[in-house]
Amino acid sequence: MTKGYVYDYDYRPEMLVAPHYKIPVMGPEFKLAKAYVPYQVFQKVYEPMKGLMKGTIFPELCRPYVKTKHRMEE
Amino acid sequence: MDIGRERLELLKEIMAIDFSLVELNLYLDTHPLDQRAQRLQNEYVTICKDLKEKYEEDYAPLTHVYASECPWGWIEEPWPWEINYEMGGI
Repeated sequence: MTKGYVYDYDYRPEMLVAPHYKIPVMGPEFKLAKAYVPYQVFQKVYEPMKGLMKGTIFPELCRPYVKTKHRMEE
Repeated sequence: MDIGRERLELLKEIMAIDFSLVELNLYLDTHPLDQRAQRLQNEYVTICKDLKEKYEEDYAPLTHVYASECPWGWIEEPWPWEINYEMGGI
């Protein structure tokens, strides 16, 4: 019996996840996505009270949800 | 509970600088050689210490690590959730 995750020859989705989680695993014909995380570079920071209010002191990480008019077409 | 405007302002300043220090902590964990961030962290540590010292001297203990007069000051003060943060301050 093989230990660990084996992708080639006898690919069986149920080997990849704990059976009690029941996560649907897609077959090997589906390519995995490529993820990336750019390295943060220290620039300006918000002063402490502004940072607390915004939820981060780093302007590059501040992405508030802004309510915009929903565009139906396009 | 109303703890007074000046005390609340100081408390909020402490909360803000504590938050900035957590942010810098996380940044420095992944950028341990960043001198600018380190300088800011060090500057904030000093400010934070001073603010907390002043708060504990003027008002009340912030943690249980507190040399108190009798009676024990910790239980005399409002719990964090009893403070009305809306009444003023920054």
